[in-house]
Amino acid sequence: MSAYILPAFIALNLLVGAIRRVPVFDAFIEGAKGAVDLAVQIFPYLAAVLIAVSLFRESGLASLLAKAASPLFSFLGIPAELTELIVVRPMSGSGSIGLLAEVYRTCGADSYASRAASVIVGSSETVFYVAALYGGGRVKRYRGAIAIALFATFAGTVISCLLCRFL
Amino acid sequence: MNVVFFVLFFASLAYMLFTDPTGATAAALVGAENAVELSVKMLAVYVLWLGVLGVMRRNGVANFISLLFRPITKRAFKGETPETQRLIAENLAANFLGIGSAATPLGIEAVKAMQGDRGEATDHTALFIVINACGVQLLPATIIALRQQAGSNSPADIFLPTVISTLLTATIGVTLVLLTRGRRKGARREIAP
Repeated sequence: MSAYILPAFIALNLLVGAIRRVPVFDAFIEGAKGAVDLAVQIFPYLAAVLIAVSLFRESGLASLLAKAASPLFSFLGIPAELTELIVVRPMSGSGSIGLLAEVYRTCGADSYASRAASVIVGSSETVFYVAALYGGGRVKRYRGAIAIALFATFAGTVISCLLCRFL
Repeated sequence: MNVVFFVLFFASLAYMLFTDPTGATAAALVGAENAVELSVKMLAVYVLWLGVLGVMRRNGVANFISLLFRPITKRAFKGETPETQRLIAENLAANFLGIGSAATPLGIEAVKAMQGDRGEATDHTALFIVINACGVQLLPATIIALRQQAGSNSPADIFLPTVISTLLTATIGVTLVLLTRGRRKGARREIAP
């Protein structure tokens, strides 16, 4: 069923566009123009995170950390391979996309760890970034909003891993 | 992020100076190469989905989805002006579709309107920030595309768990905000009689 969603979604949009006499090609170009800017914008973030992470892996510190976290994580059903991803997720969106690609590369895109990682990244947000951006210097005290969002995100991580066992 | 970056980078380098000094710069370059490769992949994903989003903005679908959110925002953000409620509905719709770049300016405007010149987050601002920070994204198009590029046999099979997880996460966040809201009001009254 899932396989149909995205192609059907695109087809439906094209159809609605055609019915409502929208110049679909022009509209597509208009949107697609932003792609290069966006890719250029995230490149330095991706590079910074992936360089640091590559060193962290190669040095052997990553496996030490994963070993240290594994009792808690395995108790909660989180694969140890996702330790770095879970730490970086609330802080950097492009960083977590980078780490997600790393999990795909090292574990295989159809492994349990990769599926869980996909669901974790797909169902959460960069909490700190959103709070800082939306607060925009205007909000001085968040009155627990950030703590609540972080807690919900971590609960969501556990839920994601659990769901991937059944779905 | 600055702290995390420093700790990862510095600790790894310091450790490798003892264990494997020649491998250090090589490892850094491998990371940079991965970033180059991934950016090119992401560019392909972006150009497809931003193109589709361009169509959605023109054909009225994006508008239609924000209309669907109106009844919810009217209830949850009661007392805000209709203009602010419209901004919130459009922000939620953009998040829902995974258009972060469109959601951000709308969200900033909405917070501006709800806060006025108060420095402490109002109940509505807290609720709004938590909803946004819990990432109510229902179309994980980027992730599905990325997974496809990584050679997955059924890249879209994460759709259902993602939708369930995102809704549960947001529910937990919203419930906690609403629960602590009453407690906070009580606490404030005690402090300032």
